[in-house]
Amino acid sequence: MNGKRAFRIKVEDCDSESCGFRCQETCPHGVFLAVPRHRNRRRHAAHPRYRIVPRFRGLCDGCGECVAACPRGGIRIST
Amino acid sequence: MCEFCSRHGRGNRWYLNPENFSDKLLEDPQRVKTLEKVAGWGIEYYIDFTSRVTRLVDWPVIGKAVKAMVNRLAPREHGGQVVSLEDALELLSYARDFVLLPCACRKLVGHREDMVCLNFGPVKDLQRRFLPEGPMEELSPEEAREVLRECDQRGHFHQVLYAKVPFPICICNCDARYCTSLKQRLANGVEVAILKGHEVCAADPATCRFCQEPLCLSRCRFGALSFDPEAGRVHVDQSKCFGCGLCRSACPRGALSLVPREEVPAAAGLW
Ligand code: SF4
Ligand code: SF4
Ligand code: SF4
Ligand code: SF4
Repeated sequence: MNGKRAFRIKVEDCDSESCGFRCQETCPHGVFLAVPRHRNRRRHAAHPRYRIVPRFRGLCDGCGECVAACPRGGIRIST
Repeated sequence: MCEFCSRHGRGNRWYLNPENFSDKLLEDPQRVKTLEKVAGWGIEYYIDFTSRVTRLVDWPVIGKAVKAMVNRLAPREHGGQVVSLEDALELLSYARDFVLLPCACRKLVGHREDMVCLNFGPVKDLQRRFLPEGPMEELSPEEAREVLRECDQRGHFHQVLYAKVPFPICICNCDARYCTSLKQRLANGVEVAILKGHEVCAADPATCRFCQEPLCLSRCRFGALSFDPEAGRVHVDQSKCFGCGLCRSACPRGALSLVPREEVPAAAGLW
């Protein structure tokens, strides 16, 4: 991955609405993307809910800050 | 000249050719379909979809085929190019119906509601149709120019976005942490998601005194600037430079300038 070491990131347990998206706030490289939970646009517009995915994991430097920030302990990083 | 200019620039940069802003281009059904996909809530699904696809580019075996497909499809849909403040300001003189919208990347990557996405042309009507309750601020041309200047000051680079080349619809002002186009390029090597600009930075070694707290270094989000300990000056890696010009506006001594990419051997042809 562009010569960089790739980290494996798993978001196993996430409740973004109640935690307030802390991993996103913490990650200096913006690795996490929020994606709509509802595939139906109208339902999403009426009730926007998001799932967190480590979509840009190629930019992760393994600092581990997101792991510490997640109140549910739901993020795991491995090499 | 990048590929888009040679096909759509008429001797100029593609986003500075007034013909490319014409409503006639909206007669293309494929363009209208793209516009509907990227307006309103649609953009959230679009970012999810494209970032899922482009992630496959650095996979073994299928990666090459995916990249060829992305390179072919992106110009028919949605993508962008970095522009300097001067180019962005000139571009605005060919556009109309300016509206400021919250940046979808900043929302999805950082859960922020930042009004930094300067849209024009058909976007205002689309937004009203698809997201009538959503935040939208109408701007006069002078207010639109002011937004660009403010974003430049804050350290947000400018990017012109198209809805199918060569129809510009927006200048977004963001940074590397949030811009999902740039992340697709940096994380997965998808150049077409955001092309480099038509200029590159050049440092004048006679003027740079290497400040104690060099503002230029912290402004570059593309890793093109570094300290050259031997010369005691700033060094520009022009092959990495995207031509955003943000370093230049931060240098108190005026040591940095933008020069045409094609005149710099180290950067020519690197889009
Ligand atoms: S380990 Fe650090 S860089 Fe990687 S995703 Fe977590 S916060 Fe971001
Ligand atoms: S910090 Fe944990 S609970 Fe909060 S959004 Fe991130 S993964 Fe979900
Ligand atoms: S801000 Fe200007 S003078 Fe200071 S280090 Fe950078 S280029 Fe040199
Ligand atoms: S060197 Fe200057 S112009 Fe080039 S990418 Fe960095 S900040 Fe932008």
